[in-house]
Amino acid sequence: MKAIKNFLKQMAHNKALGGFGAPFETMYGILFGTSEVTLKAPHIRDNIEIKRFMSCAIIALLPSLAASIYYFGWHMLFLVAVAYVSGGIVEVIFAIVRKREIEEGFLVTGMIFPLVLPPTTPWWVVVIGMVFGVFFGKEVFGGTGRNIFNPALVGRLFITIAFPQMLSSSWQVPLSDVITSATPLSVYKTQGVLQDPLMMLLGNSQIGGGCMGETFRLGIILGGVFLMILKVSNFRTPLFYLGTVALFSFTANLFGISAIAPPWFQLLSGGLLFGAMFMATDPITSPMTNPGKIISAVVMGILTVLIRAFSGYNEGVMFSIILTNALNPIIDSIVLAQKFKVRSK
Amino acid sequence: MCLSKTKFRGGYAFRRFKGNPGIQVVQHPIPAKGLFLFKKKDGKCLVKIGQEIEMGQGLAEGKVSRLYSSLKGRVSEIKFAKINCEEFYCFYIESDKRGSENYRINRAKDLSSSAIEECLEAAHLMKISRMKSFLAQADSVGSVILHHGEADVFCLKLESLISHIPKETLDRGAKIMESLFPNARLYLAVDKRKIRVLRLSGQDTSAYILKGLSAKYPQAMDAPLAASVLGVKLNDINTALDQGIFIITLQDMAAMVQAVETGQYPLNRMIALAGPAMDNPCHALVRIGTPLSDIIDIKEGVRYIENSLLSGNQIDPAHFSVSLQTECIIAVPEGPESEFLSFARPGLVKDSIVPVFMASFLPVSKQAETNIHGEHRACLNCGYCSDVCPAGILPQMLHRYIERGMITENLVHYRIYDCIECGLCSYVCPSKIDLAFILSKGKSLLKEEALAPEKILNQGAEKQK
Repeated sequence: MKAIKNFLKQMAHNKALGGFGAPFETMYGILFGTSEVTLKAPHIRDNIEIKRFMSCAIIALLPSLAASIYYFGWHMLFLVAVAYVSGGIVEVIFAIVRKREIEEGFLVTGMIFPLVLPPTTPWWVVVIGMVFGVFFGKEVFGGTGRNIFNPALVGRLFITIAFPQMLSSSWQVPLSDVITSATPLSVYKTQGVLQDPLMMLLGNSQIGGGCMGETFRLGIILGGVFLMILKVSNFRTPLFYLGTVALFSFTANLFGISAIAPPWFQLLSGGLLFGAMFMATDPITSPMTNPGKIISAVVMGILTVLIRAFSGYNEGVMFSIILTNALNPIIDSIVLAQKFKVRSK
Repeated sequence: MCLSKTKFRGGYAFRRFKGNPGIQVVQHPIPAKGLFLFKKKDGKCLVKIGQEIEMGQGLAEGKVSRLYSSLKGRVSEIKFAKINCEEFYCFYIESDKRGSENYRINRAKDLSSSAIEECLEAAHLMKISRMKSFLAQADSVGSVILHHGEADVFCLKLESLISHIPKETLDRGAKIMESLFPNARLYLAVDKRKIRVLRLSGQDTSAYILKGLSAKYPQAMDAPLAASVLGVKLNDINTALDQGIFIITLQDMAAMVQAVETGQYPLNRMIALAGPAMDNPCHALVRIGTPLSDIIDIKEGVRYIENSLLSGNQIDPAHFSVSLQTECIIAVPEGPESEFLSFARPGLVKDSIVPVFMASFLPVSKQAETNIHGEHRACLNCGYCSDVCPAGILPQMLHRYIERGMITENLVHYRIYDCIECGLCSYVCPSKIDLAFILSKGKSLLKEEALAPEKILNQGAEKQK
């Protein structure tokens, strides 16, 4: 153990390696933590760190991953591994070029990305999406903490547009090899038929289940609530996002707009729960202030319902989150202007 | 003066840390050799080596303050020392180890404000009052807040303190305050968990309006105190006193009462000895001027801190003695070596603002040490800093401005001067960004750029005209 520690330490601080020391430093950090101490007040620091923070997010995603393996086979684990390797290579290259340590955020991105893909997605599409997402969604902005858009969603959006057939009309029926173009959302859109709510909650539908991670909704709810209790995700975003979807569709139903599905169906279909719990809550791409988070969640909710009902796509979660990500700076500036009003004397 | 309304928001409750002192009080003997420190920049020496001095005799004098001896004896040494980048005079006094029986008695003639002021001047206590003269500000002070805060990680406990001050102190203190500030309302603010202690102590608190402080650090700093007791927001330019609020701690009030009653300079001070590296955490009644080595065994690999783990200064054990400002001496182990897979451990003794460690769910004592517990990372915008900020500002945004060199009016607009440097934002940051330091750097850069708060306000006023 000591030998490994010394080896990693030497590699990390080896000047001759230049930027190549960064990955070793990351390894050292993961295995052995830090021995750095505070130099001035405050003399003590909280024990929370980004690795713990991100580990919690990964734990919260495990029920979804386990369910996707159960419903669609071990192939899913392979896709997750492919996402990690391809995204990891991009991360490492940038870490070396920037001579900075690898940020742990990509561990969550690498897990989320395959979970929002249809189970039939070929591995090379996963590679393309992940590389595109990490590169254009994050690194071009300057790396973790500076990106405007959720990298997993950028990747997903790109391959949705690049491979429309693969990504939006071939869905695997859970626990079977049957491929169909029908999902609860598309069936509602074309025929106006609702599915059984319990079946949707558990994800064992007789038609296409949707993306890998979004079928077992009970697990998503558990994971999401786990994150909210730990305060790793801010409860305001999912609460107001889901609340807005429910309220908006309820009101629309009152006025008899049949294109908009009833609230319970909205909540239990498509990627809404997964998006609200794990993607909309991404702190980097959320507004800074709590009121801002609420506003952006409400915007997301309205956009989701509108896109689902009136656009050519069956699902609107991805678009609504990405669009709202772009709106966040404006939302923040409005909230800040309100919060820091010049006090009149 | 008209102040806008506010409430004390944010803050953080530090609970159950290992090394909290019990309420028993240990009386320390008078030291054989006392040490007194005075900033060199401020003043000049009043005594010579070898000179015999009396209790309460002046040792050094500056423009605004004087240093007095609480020991009777002989000046054995006068040295210079550099502490926290500032030069200090160090007076070493060999004491005769006698009590205060021959200390002069010179009580105030009556309770008129001029007599009180004269008496406090004679007892050298104007320093605690943080003002040059009571008389000048007698009418402008609208509120007096007597407080004892207890929300720091380690702090002096009210139980111990109140058992060692005379029963009539609070009542007499109220009379003095009424005489000094005839227009003022008196408030007595203690942690809300300790109101019972105050009631049971037998002190007469009828002259005060009692207020329970929310049990969160930094409840005892000026701005949060004003917010939670009076519901007003202190502005960032003037001191609390200039805004009509006189703030004094319980122990200082006791010293003041004693001075007015007897004319004596306070000789002893109650301090808490705390922290996981302290052998016997307790409260101690110590003669002012007692060097650190007389109070505790100084150990290697331990960091000693005065008053607060969050906002206090590190102590140089060779050049430290108990002064009128000491309330607590904290010993924490210098960050132990890194742990294997530290991020994945259950965390039975780890404190955190978010309940991600087992310690948040179990009735265990948590460990405080100086390790930063994680690597430096980019800001994730998690918002923990703004959630705990007692000033209600957004450190995560301000630090970006400062780090990118954007030292502009924007910082003032986003109220950077409201920062009270409590250090909570640095404490909670999971990316280990030293936000408190960056913000204070930002403030000093702003002042250099001639954007001091007064100037901005003046400009604003001119524009309005």
